[in-house]
Amino acid sequence: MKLAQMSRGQSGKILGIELEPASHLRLMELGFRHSSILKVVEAPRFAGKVITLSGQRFALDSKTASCIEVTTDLSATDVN
Amino acid sequence: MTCPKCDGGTQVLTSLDQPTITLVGPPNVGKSSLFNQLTKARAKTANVTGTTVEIDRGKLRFKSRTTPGAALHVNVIDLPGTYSLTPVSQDEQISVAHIKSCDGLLLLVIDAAALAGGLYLLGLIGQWQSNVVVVLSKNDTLKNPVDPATLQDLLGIPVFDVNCRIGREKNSGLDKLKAYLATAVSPEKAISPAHFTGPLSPATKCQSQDHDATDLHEPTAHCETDLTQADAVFGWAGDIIAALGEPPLVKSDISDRLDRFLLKPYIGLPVFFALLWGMFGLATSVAAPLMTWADKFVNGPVASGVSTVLGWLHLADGPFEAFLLDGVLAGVATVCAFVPLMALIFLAIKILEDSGFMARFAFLADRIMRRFGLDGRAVLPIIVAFGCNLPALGATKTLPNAQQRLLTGLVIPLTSCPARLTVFTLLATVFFPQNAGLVVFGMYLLSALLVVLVAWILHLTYFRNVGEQRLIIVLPPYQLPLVRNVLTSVGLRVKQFLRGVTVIIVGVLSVVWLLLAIPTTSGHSFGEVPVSDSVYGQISQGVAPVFEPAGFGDWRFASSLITGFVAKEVAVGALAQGYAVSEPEDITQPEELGVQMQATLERTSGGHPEAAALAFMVFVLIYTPCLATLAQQWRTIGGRWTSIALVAQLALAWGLAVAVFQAVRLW
Repeated sequence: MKLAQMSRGQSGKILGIELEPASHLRLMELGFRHSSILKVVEAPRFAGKVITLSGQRFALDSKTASCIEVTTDLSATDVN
Repeated sequence: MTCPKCDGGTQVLTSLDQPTITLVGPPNVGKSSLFNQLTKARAKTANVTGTTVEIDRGKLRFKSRTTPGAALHVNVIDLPGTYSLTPVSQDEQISVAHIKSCDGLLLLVIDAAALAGGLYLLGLIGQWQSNVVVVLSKNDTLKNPVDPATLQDLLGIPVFDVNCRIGREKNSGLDKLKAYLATAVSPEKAISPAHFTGPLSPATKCQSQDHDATDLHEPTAHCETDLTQADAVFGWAGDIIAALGEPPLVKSDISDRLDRFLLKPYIGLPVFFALLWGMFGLATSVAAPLMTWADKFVNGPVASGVSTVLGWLHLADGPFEAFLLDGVLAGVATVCAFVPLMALIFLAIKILEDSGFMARFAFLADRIMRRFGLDGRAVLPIIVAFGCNLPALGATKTLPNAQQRLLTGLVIPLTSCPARLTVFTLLATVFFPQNAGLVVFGMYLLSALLVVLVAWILHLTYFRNVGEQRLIIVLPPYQLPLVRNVLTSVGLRVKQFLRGVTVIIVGVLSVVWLLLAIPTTSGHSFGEVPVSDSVYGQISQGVAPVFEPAGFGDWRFASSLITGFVAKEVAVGALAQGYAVSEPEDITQPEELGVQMQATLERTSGGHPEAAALAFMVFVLIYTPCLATLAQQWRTIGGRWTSIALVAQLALAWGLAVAVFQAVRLW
């Protein structure tokens, strides 16, 4: 599923980022790496997602959130 | 990328002949707080030439170990935050270029709560620099703080745990860092190196030339190999974190509970707008009496003092005294009058930033603003602009990249400030006595429409990439801003403002005085001439025909517009001066001035004075707000763009004024 489809309170493991290399790299630099665990802390209507990841809180627009592939099965090892 | 050492465009970073400590790190890690603590806020802020990127420079002073009583000075540079060495904005580009090429010591500030990101940056820096010292910030926010000694052993370079927020207080860790820096400065004024060896093999300095630092467009990360490299460096960072023991855990705080409410658009947006209006309303109302006082102080006691001194020098009662008092001191008074307003607005902005509110507001407003090519953060300067354009331009500093700052800086002068309100009120009262309020409201509505429309057009043309950028904001925890940090920052911004605009404002007002003082007809002496017989009056008469298609082709109205270029507050006074009548005490009861204006526009508009009055108001709304704003715009977005904006605003003002006059006349 996509990060954009997750609800408030759900945790997920990042499986992949479907973005052009520049944006992919920037997300990676911010800690959005394969197998990282994130949690959706707020999902305001019309305004993307607010998540916690590696101790930091991030706000992402919907367009970016829909490019991040996640699984809510935190024990999943590899999907790619 | 152009290296600052090789490129004359970035001289601000290179004209240093003393040892240099450069503060680097990701954004919002406490770098600037540490900079203020090290330099005791004695900093100079300068734009990197050809860009809107600002660099803070200061000096760290040590007692010399070899010469008793002497002091050693070390330059300290605070670079814009960067997450990596693959820049995606002009700010990061400047930082990265400097990191790759600089000599001296790099002080890398990393957030203990986001250790992986900080170590990742360190790993990349190791490819270019070995003389690196790590400052661990925000360690106090962790349930299990990182042990700096263990991290130091793992990295092989000095690591200091510094609470950048409390700085000079005991136990902040700052003393240890300063003691290390003092011993690192050798008698020969060279900084002894720390030897960091990162996970990547060293690169050769000053070799990349793939982007011009003065290019307006943001650079883009384009190397797919960077992804592989990033993975390798993150792997190295992961190993270090694993060796430290349990991963850092952040203490839960009030942010979770506040965000639950404030990040809901229907709660958050009204709360944030109310907060903004409240803070800026308070700032402007508190500033108003201070501005009046500052103006009166310069024109009163200071002017008297200058007169007295001139009397001692036998220079009183002549043109020189008049020039000094009415030209130069008038300019100084204008600058001084703006200082309280600027300080209070900067204070409000800093409080919003440091408290964590700004990032949330930007996130919530982003969706709306993005449609017009503006970032969510642009809401703040635009709202400030309705109070005064001048601090609003200063507030564009909060925007994340150069193009956003430029685009916002170009539309801000279209917002209607209270200074223009005096002109609108006068004209509306005289020409639309039954609907004065509606007409003034219409001007504000037109102002908002123009901001949106011009931003949208610029977004569709020159700034096509601006609205396409993705929004990924790190939301800092809510916190109480520290008084010392806030005041230091406000002080720096005010100093920067004074340095940037004083010469321009005083210079132009002195020239205006000279133009008003030089007679063009016989029978008048220098400095004692009616406006109509001065060079200024002649220029106004020469300009007046330009406004004939807009229905107000009269020299007094042209003169008012030229004076309004200096400050809209004095535009009404200029009209009164042109008609040789007293400026009305109450702007809603113009009496003699109103009668004269009606007679003039009746004549110049061919019997459609209301249409001409509307056209005049539209022109006043759109053309250059005031000289101080122009000077600040020059400082913020550079001379080239300010000149373009000036011409474009004049053209738009004239075009719309003509259109309004012709349309209303027919209607």
